Amino acid sequence: MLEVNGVSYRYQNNPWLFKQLNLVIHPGEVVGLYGKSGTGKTTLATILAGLKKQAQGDIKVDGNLYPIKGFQPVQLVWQLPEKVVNPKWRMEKVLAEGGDLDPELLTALGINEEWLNRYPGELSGGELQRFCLARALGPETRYLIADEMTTMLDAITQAQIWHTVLQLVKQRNIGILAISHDPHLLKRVCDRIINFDELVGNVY
Amino acid sequence: MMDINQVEKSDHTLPNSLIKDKTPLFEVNHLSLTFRQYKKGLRESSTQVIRDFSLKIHQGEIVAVVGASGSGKSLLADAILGILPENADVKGDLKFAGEELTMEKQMLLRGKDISLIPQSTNALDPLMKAGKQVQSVIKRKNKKSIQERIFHKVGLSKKAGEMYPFELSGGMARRVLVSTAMVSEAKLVIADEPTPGLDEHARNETIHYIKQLADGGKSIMFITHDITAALEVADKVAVFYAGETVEIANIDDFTGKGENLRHPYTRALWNALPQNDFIPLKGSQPLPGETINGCAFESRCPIAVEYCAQKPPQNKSVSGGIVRCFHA
Ligand SMILES: Nc1ncnc2c1ncn2[C@@H]1O[C@H](COP(=O)(O)OP(=O)(O)OP(=O)(O)O)[C@@H](O)[C@H]1O
Ligand SMILES: Nc1ncnc2c1ncn2[C@@H]1O[C@H](COP(=O)(O)OP(=O)(O)OP(=O)(O)O)[C@@H](O)[C@H]1O
Ligand code: SF4
Ligand SMILES: [Mg+2]
Ligand SMILES: [Mg+2]
Repeated sequence: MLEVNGVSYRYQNNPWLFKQLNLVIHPGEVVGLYGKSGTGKTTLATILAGLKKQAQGDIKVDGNLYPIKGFQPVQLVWQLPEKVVNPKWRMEKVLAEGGDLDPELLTALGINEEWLNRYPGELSGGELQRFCLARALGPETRYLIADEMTTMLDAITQAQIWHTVLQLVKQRNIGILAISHDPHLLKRVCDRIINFDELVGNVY
Repeated sequence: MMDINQVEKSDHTLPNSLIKDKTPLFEVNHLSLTFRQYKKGLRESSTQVIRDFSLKIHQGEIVAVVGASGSGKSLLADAILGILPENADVKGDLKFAGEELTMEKQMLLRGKDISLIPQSTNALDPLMKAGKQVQSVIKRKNKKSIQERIFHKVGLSKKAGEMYPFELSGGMARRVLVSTAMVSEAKLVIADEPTPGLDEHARNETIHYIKQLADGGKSIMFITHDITAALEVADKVAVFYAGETVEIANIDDFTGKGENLRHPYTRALWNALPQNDFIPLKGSQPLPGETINGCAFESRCPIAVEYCAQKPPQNKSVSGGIVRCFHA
């Protein structure tokens, strides 16, 4: 279980983005999250992935309190993939950051072997997005924070990717927080859907 | 000169029938794009990414380009602007306002008569505040007030103008990119995925604004995976698959189970939308450079017959659209 208890955050002296926020994600559950642009969804996502520290409150993953030592079982697929891959690394090296990846998974995500030899700038937007998903789906991943994970994909590829991911959710009992602005997509893939603006409604 | 205020109340709008008779503002015929690559062992190989692409965009018209991820849409945009990497070879005819669009001309028109909303937010200068970046493309006076007005339109606060790119949320960065093209005086705007990750309000404002630009006489190439957005504002839709246009369809063709669509790929794309059936199609798009003797969609096509794999179908006109399929 991924438990968020009374977590608050703000950037420097800016107003609080959220205060005393609570959220629970169970293994094998897909939770949808949507809300207005610029309100703090990605910020929350980076905190859950252990990349930023909350100002107040605590977070536990499967009983272990943050900060997590060693491999972080909560992995984030970034909204803007172009921001989080080293432009000077070939894709092979970029992928290696995710640990040993199952070649079958790469195929299922529509990633071609030939691309491993390329630099990020030599891939299309959607191809890069799929690499970032693959990197986050290493064997030790228990929870996936999918921040606008398929926005750069056509509808067919989007459906393919989500079917693959939902299969993994079952097989590996992974919990997912899916952040998206597409209500139709959330309805298709989620067990329950949360409005972020309501979740942080207690901000003042 | 066109002010954004004037764009809003402009009455340059021509009835569609009139537009169609005029020279297109932008025209491309039989464009192909090939990459020269060095593989392991330093053998040079060439990979064709776009094949035989033709399209016209008239003044005031919005042409949506939708299709498979990795099918060559962004490279098409880069080819029109003349900003491809050095190892890319382009063949074919490009025309702007009736005149050949040479490399020199591309350089001259880029950012002036032709402007791009790029897909990657890396296009923002990380060291310049968002407001300044937009002001830097405004050629007129009152740069700051024009910038603030356009920010207001796309739902960005004054404070956002004082932020550096790393301080912007994904949706905010996207809207800064959109603003940059909106304040330019370009006659042709190429918008490469301007709306992914935008919330409903910002998305609606953005596509509404694209529509206003077209009503004000600009031509727009609207590259998007958001088919609903394309249908809301575009005059026609070009569908891309594996470096080719498989269909140029009308807005009204996208309805029901896609019975009016001419190409099986377009139909599959339509039915794969989450609000339709969310059905994934088995298999994947052939890779650029893969040898294809017949139809590029053959390996995944539910209605393929033997000869589909043997010779490539050519473009043909069918019920008011263009399609590349033997069975249409
Ligand atoms: N490094 C930073 N310094 C200061 N403010 C920041 C920083 N990063 C983000 N912000 C601000 O925090 C707010 C929340 O940003 P965040 O990226 O979490 O929003 P979001 O809900 O994910 O939005 P979107 O839907 O557009 O992706 C925004 O107003 C943004 O300007
Ligand atoms: N510099 C390059 N060298 C070799 N191949 C490239 C290069 N840049 C892009 N490609 C390939 O060309 C194909 C088309 O890329 P392009 O970026 O135009 O796709 P796209 O249709 O915009 O896709 P998306 O919808 O995912 O953004 C992709 O398969 C990509 O991997
Ligand atoms: S030409 Fe044949 S394989 Fe290609 S889309 Fe038409 S029916 Fe399918
Ligand atoms: Mg975000
Ligand atoms: Mg692209």
